[in-house]
Amino acid sequence: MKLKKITAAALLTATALIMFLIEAQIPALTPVPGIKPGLSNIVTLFALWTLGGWWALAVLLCRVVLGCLLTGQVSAILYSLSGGLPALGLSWLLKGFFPSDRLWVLSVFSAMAHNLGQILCAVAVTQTPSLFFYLPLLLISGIISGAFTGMAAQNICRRL
Amino acid sequence: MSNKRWALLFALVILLCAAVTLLLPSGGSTVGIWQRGELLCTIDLAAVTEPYTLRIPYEGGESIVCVEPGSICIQSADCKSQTCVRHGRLRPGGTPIVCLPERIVIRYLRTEGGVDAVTG
Repeated sequence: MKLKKITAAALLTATALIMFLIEAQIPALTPVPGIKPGLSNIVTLFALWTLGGWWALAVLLCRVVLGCLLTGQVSAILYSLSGGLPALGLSWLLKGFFPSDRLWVLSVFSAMAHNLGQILCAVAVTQTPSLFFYLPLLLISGIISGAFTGMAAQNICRRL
Repeated sequence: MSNKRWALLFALVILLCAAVTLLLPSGGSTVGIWQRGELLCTIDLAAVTEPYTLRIPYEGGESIVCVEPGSICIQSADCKSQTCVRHGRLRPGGTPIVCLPERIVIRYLRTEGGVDAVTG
């Protein structure tokens, strides 16, 4: 059983990594930078739902570290994790409260946690608290993309 | 809660966020450049007639900011990620140019007496 989970987690990490790399090549969808579809969140959610929290954490950490190494942006690890960890943490916490057909709702909450975490990190690193005024703008994109990635994850989970 | 209710709730949050974004006072054409939370300078982009560059040093490296009539962008930066360079020009109502490795923020100032009076 454990071997099966390790294999599944490794496959999911590879999938997330590919999504992460492809997404990095897509030019910005909107004139407002900082807004991304967050496709690898589909994998994180799927891992959380099917394998459990610790496995999802492992997949997330491997994806972020390997993704940042592969794209040559080692300094982006901190920034990626400042979004990814709160996002996973919140969905892990709330997981028990949502049935499998409300996975997209969970995803929206985790996207919002992602926005908040990254803005907190940017504020801390640049020591510029006024960056908080961009939170509403980021939340709009977070809610929309969170709903879409959540629906994608929900559909995959349903077909298991 | 049903799917519909959740969707309605999130739509309301989106509307609220949009309202907050639109209602925040936007302050004309003046941008500010911060490093480590310290305001380095302010530039009124409408008053710029000739393009010029600014050099912002940071721990041995430097960023080159390109100021043109009506626009501003980071032309080059001594870091690997180049996120701020790829951000391109600063747009009113858009996200600020943020360079995490060199702790630089470039954004539009808000009107006097508004939020900037509070946050400095």
